[in-house]
Amino acid sequence: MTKLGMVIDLSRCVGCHTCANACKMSNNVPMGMLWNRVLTDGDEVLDGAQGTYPNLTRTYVPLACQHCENPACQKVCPTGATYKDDKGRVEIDYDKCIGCRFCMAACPYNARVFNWSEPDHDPDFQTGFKDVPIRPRGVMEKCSLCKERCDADPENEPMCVVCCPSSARIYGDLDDPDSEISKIVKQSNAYTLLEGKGTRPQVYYHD
Amino acid sequence: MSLTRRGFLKAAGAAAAVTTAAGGAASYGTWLKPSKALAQGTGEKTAYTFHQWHCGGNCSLKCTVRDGRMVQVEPNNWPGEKKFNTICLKGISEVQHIYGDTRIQTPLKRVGERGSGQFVSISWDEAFDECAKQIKAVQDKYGEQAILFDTCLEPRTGFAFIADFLKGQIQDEDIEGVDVGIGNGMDPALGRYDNQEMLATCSVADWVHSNTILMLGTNLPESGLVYNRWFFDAKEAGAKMWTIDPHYTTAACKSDEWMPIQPGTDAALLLGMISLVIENKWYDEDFMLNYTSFPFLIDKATGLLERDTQTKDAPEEGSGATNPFKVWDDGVKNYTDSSHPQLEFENDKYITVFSQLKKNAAAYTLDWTAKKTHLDPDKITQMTDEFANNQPSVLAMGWGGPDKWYNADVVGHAAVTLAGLCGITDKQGGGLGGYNQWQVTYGCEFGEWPEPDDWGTADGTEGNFERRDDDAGVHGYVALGDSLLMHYADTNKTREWVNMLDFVLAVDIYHTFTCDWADIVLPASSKFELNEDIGSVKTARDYVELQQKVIDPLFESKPDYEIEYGLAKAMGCADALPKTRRELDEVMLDSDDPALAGITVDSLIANNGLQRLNVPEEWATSYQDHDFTTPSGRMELYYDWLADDDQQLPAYEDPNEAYEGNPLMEKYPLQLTQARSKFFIHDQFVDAKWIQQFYVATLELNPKDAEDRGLKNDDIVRAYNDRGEFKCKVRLNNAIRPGSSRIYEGQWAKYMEEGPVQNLTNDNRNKRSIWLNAAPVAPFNDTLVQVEKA
Repeated sequence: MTKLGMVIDLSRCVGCHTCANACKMSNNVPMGMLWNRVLTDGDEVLDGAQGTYPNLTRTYVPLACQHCENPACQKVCPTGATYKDDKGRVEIDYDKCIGCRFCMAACPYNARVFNWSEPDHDPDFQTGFKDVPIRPRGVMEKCSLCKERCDADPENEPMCVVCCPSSARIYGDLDDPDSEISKIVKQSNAYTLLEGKGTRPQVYYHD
Repeated sequence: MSLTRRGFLKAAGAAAAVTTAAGGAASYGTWLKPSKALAQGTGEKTAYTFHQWHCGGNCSLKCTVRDGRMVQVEPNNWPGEKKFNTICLKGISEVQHIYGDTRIQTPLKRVGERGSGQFVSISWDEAFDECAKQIKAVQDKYGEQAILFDTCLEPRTGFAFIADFLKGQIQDEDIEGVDVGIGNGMDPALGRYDNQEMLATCSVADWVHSNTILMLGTNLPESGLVYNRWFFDAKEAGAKMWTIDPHYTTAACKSDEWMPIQPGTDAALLLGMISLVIENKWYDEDFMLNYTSFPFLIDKATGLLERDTQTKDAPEEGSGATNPFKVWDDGVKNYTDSSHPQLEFENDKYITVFSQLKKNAAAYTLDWTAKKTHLDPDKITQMTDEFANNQPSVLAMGWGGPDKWYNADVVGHAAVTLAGLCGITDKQGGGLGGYNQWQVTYGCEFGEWPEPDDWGTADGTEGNFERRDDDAGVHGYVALGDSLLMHYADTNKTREWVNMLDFVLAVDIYHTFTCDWADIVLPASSKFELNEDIGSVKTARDYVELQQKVIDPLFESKPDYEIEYGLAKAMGCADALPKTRRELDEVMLDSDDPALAGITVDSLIANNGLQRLNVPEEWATSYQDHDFTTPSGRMELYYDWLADDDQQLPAYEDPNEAYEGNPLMEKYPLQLTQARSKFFIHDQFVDAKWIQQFYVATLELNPKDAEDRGLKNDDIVRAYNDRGEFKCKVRLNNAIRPGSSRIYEGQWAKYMEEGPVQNLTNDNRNKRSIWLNAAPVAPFNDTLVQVEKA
């Protein structure tokens, strides 16, 4: 089996949002929405710091769909629009999505974004990979691990991985013990977010 | 060729064929033909070009074009070095930015008052003719030098001749006014008398060999985003990193140690470190004796270096051979004739440079340093110990922090003196300077297009503030980019000055601050837009990069070279120019330099716009062989030409405005920093919607300072001093040093409640700097303000 996933080196993340914009471009994500965000840990706003000057810490946490092995979103989807695909990714069949937003409420990572109104695209033409489906109003969307790009050519990687200026992201098959991602997950004391939720994310982090 | 054969070309012509009503700003949505109408021409192509040089990132981009629109940009593939396959959020944001609502769509002519922003659209022919007429009128009346040519923008690589055929004065940011503060003090010691803006003596790639890295007022992981791969490789290889910065920057949070320094006291820290190195004998005596001017004798009576003929004149490379320096070696000897010069010596008449430095160092005790800088003395000692004794060591400095202070030259002079004491520059992984570029390269000599003999820039007053504030004979101003915003502090004075000029021309891609003050505005195309198949060539990272056409020029904009050619034609001198940019590129690449052998326009196109120069595989280095281009060939740390200012060796001075004890602090207690960030390149990308997702102009304060003023997040605040004010949102951030305030550099007034920030920045110029390489630095950060709820 294939189980695609990602491991992110937080010690290399500088919170630059290149991944967020790379994703926005490649997947034609509307204005006001991002599939992939970089949070400043513990801060409501970006680029803050924890503590009192000068005893401070700051950690950036890039956050998108965690492509859980046991996805909370999938369980609550009444139409089967959210599904695990044959490569282990959590995907959405936009044609089946009825916009009930149960999945949005269920996702503990707040990774999903909803087209509450007609998508506002700036620029007003489709950017990114040509085969990425158009999502209309009333449809849920989120990180697909650049499904269309990566399926079109096995050499392709998700755009956030390609563009990261710090090389903080490694993408690959977690089921292949010889893959770089598997080795790094093993060697780096990698962890997943909200482990207690039992969602078993396929996106790992390490410090 | 990488282009697909599918029928792209028909779609690409859409923009140029459309015209607009005068003054009417069309959105690109209505301007461009709808993509659905282009079904017969639908197809994708890939095109390669280069992005900004201005950030030093030098990314080469692979661009996807669909239906005539640029729909994707991603890193190009650099042959031989995968880590160079870079892009950042700014490059990606171009997918929106180039189509954005701030693009200048047609040539504009001013109809309202200067600064009112009232323009009408005119044709290119009309615009070129008007420019030629006005420039000629200024030059007929006042002489050729009455035109000032000023650049602050990305199009620069596309303009090759304009400064020379305008024949006026030139204000190039590389040589005057900005980014020269620290370099003014550092560069002369290395023999860089042509001003090199403290460019680093090695590259970030060398840091993997470093054991100790000090980052002084530089936020490299943000401002040099695409060099993060090397930055983190160095960290993971075990380099101990120290960041010295008033604010808790990204560099600070990625370093092993953060030294939260009092703003404006960087020179105090370096002078304190020099004292510690001397006191503890952590210096490198061999390096000092053989490769520096430390053993040279000073004539105590004059304060000048003893030579056959003492001089305060500007230093000349190699002049030590005919006018030798002296050392003490059983008496006074020429330094070239001495086998055992003394490093330390003093009698009634002479003292060595090192002995003088040691004497001076007595004033800069650890207690004094700790008090000035507000740093922990034990940490200062530990950092100095590691810098001196755990080499290779790097002292990286920034252009956005300590550089923009009144006496930044003392920082540079102290930094290079510390480097000379510790002998850091001759080791792989050791060096100093600004690292936000791929600094050290082998480079190449491009072929030159022969220009008429009477072309060239005129002599004029040096320094932007001299030109603005003194009677410097400037009556016409030609700006490439937003130079009025980026080069001048105290905007009210700038406004007065511009209003007195006979003619102002602005060339820009986007409608920036300078455009509003222009009589004629010419819309340049972005890097992605060309009519010809190719644009400029340049070298970066020891590769040749070629600009290639991605899409047609948007709106009625013209590519850089066509603007330059059009102006030349209107001025009657186009015959001397190449007809096309390709013609010029071919001449540039047809060079005798073996580094360029075999590299042609066609080979560059075939290689997706990227070819490595024929240079050695290992990265270039500098000064590892002690090849200083000074009079003596050594690192020369004693500056005779500053004798009248008592700065032959670096001596501490308080800043001009933002220092503890300045009575002005009672009225204006907060220091203001205009910091560089990951989001912008100076004022570029401030208008990019995909960047605005993350940041719009915000004044950041420590929560304590905000609380004292009754401020909460998102309140609109007024920052002010005697020079002026600006208004924008406030943001409480623990990362900001109490007593300071921070806003990112280059914010556009249109995205603030009131602006720009330069309304209140300090424009005092250090008279001493005029004797250094470059004119005085604009001391933007040496500014005090008060902040209140607006």
